[in-house]
Amino acid sequence: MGRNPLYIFLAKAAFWLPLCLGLWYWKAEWFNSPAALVSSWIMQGFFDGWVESVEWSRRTLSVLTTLELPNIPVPAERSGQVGLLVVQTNPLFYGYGLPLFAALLLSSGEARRWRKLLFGALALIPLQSWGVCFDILRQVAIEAGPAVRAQAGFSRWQIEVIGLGYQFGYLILPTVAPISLWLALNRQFIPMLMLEGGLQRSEYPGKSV
Amino acid sequence: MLRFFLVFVAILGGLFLFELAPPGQSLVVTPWTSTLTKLSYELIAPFDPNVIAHGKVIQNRSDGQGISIEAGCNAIEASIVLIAAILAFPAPWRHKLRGLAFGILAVQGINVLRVISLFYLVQWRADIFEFAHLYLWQALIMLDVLVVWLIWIRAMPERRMFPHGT
Repeated sequence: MGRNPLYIFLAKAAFWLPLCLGLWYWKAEWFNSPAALVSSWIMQGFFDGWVESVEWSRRTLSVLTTLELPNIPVPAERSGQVGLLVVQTNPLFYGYGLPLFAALLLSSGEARRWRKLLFGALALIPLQSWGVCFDILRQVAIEAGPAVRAQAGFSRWQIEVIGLGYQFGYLILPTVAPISLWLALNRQFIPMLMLEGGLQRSEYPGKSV
Repeated sequence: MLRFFLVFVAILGGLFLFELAPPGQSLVVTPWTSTLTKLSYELIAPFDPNVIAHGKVIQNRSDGQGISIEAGCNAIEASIVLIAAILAFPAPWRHKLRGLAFGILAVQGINVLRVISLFYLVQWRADIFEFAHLYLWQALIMLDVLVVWLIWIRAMPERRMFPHGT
């Protein structure tokens, strides 16, 4: 068992993953700031018709909109005023790919790992922003109701795309992206593993390795 | 590598779309989530008489605390990723089928462990439930997928590895 590089990799990953995740969660506001910033640029750039401003604090990204909420009871002293929609999201939901990527990189003992780590961290930012932006859009286009949806001007097919983009950004991207990136930056790992497995079997024919 | 990645993305996208579509939901997602709930319940019940299960919910009878198995918690996405990775990688079909059978079993087995651990975590340590549920277990399940896939690759028949007899 000790000779199998896969078991060594697994043991290292079991050590690094909780450590990286813990550090990332502890310093979440710091690690998730770049994606929060990119998301706020995207929202303000592409949806300036209804995005008033974006705030990032205490692990929450708040989007203040100009979209009016219908049927909100307004006190008598504030008659004439309207309630505006504020959308909130947690970028951490879409950002745990970074500690997963770091753990994989540190477990596979690669050369130039810090350079690769920096490159990977930068590459994951737009993918995390994908999840954050689609979550905001989903809340506006689907959850906030038909009156808000009509003000934002989303068509039927756009709503379908938003729903699909959100599901993909929440269920697939956070985990598949870091692993794909790790494999792309560590291309010799798979051939090395196949070769090592083949040699092991030829050395001990008939024995399960 | 590029060919593998493109085929992987195509299969992943196709299976993911099927999962989200109404036929995928009614034929696979809902029945499997219900089966996962029952299986987890059956494993807990002999040791914990307070546990009850209904639909996709596992609950503690005495205090009502429990979990609901939602999208992302039934390991269907993890299985889809594994299926796409195995099908996209060049290998004999027999090896692929063996990898799919054992691989999906391994991923779902770990996921049962996740469901049971989260059921008790929400009752005993609700303060760390969010971290374990949303981040730690999500990453662990995908690490499981990766390790299963790597084990499958390592066990590739020699003829596929050395096609020119080198």
